[in-house]
Amino acid sequence: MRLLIVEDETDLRVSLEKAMREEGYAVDSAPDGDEGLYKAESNDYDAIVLDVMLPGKDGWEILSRIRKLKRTPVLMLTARDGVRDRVKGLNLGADDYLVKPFNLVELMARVRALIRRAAAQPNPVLTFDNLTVDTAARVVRVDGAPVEITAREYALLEYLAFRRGKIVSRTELYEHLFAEDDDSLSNLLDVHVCNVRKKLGKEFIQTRRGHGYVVE
Amino acid sequence: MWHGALLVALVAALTVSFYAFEKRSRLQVVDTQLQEYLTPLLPRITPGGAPGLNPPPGGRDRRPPPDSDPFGPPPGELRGFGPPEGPGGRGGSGLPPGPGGDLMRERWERGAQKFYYASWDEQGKSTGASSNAPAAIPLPDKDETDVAYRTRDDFREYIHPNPNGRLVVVGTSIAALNAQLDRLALRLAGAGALVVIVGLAGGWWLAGRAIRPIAQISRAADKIAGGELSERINVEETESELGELAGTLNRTFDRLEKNFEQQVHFTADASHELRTPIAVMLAETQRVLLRARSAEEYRQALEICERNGERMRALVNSLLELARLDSGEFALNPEECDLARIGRETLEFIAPFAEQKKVTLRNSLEPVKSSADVLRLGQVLNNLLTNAIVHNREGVEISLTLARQNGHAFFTVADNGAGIPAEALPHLFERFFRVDKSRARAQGGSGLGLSICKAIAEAHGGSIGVESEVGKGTKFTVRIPCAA
Repeated sequence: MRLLIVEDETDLRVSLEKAMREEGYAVDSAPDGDEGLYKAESNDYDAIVLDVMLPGKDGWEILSRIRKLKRTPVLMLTARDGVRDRVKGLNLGADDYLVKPFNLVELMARVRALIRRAAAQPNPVLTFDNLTVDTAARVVRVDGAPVEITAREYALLEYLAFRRGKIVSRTELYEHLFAEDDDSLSNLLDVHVCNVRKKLGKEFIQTRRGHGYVVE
Repeated sequence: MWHGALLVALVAALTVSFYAFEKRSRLQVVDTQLQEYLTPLLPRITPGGAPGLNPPPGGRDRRPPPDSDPFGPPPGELRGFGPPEGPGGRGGSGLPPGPGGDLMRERWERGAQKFYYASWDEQGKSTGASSNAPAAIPLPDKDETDVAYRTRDDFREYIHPNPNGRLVVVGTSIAALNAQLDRLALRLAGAGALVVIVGLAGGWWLAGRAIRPIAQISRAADKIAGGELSERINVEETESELGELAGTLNRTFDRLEKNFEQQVHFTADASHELRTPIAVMLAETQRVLLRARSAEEYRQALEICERNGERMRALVNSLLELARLDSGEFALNPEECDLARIGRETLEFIAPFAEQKKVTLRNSLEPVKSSADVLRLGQVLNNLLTNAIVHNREGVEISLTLARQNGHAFFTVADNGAGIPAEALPHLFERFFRVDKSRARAQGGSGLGLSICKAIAEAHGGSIGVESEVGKGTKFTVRIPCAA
């Protein structure tokens, strides 16, 4: 899953980037409104965390511009907690709203919920025969036993699981699993797919040659 | 409510007194006629004279009226039995002979039909009464003889005490008069009620008209008190004086609304500025605590917390300082001093920082004696000089000058640096205003420095101003009043 964090407060932005990466997200960030809007328009993010008070274009403007092009879930962050601000944000198409100072764990949970909802999978636990993917706890179980799996492998699995039965192209996988400054060597994806198959069984991720991968 | 009661009482009092006045004046007329009848009557009923209704013999002299009789012979002007005006001559003390006497007799006879009399001797024994007298005229008692006149139902009577103890009562029927008075009373009551009704209705209408604009003002004030700060009184509909009042109130509301909005804005900004460092500290500590970390990671997290804690402390200090300066009184600790010394000391204090940034500091400080808060004024200069160093490239030239002109001391801090965009200049002294939001944040400024400088200058009775041109430089001027 790939996130964009638009926040002008350097310490907070860096802290959020680190926290989200540790959660297994591919994270891009922008320190001001112009860069934030550019990135939001030119990439397909799974969710955007957007500060309201930004130098350059403010959060409201970015939100309304994004909404013209994309349905990416947006969580607004603001240090203002007026009801009017909240209503304005939601009316402009924000999917959720958090007031600074927020609880980091809550932010993470809300971002996960936004992504789940956007994939039309309101249930946090996805089940495939003997295998379950608990997207809230980020745990994969085979026959009820947790499987050791790296963050990136989990991200690959989760992305495909959310799109069960849909063929996902390699380009789309690259887009959503790697941030812009990650080293994304062309065979990196193959390595992750191979590792997941080793841990969960060969048939779980199927290859559609020339099209991409699919989880049935 | 009490206006209505007042009106009713007033109308009632007027009606009653008018009725009383009317009744009294009519009775007075009757009383006069009674007296006039008595005068020719007395000789006829004195002992010796035949009591009765025989007309007095013509030309016979009347006896002089008794002392207690307040009236003399009937004056000609009075209606009733005065001697006739005309060839008979002036009214005299007797019935003139001739045709005048006939006229008197005729009048007397007419009077005798209209009036009656009754008399008693000193023992209270009736000595006679006229044939037209009502039955059983009571003998006046002692009190009534003092009153002289009495009203018995439809009869008005005059009691005439004789010195020898005899009593004569003359009277007449006043039934017609009473009937008239009753009609008058009815009419007066009707008119009074009408006046009250019209008065109350008119008063209510007038008061309503007068009160409507006031009600409007009160409604507007209520709405404003309820938080609708943009509510105003509709001035067109109100009349002149109230219209002026409404205008004044509207202008006051405008000022209050503006102040209030500034205050709301300031509070929102202040809370934003305070929340941000807290958000950083919480997010960072919560992130680090999610799993075990290396010592280096913990150190970095603590550095971030320290940095943001410091930022909050600086911000809280600035806010408290502004609050103190806003409160006006006791904000300053003024003392007699040489302003040039404040300038020199500030330059010494800032020199190491300037050197570090390769900034050249120049100064030209004229000695000026004044009363000023040395610490605060030093803070202003320090703030302006620090801004000039921080917001310009390295190697910029900054000059501090102090000069006196027209009873004012002028400090200027001028640089030949980047300058400030013209559109930012009007907002420069506003609280939390930043020319370049992202850059100023990175440099740790709170956005309150210049508003504190302004507040300090104003607390001294002075002012602060700025001139700037992009690419050429910026000049801040602080004006402080000084002794001549």
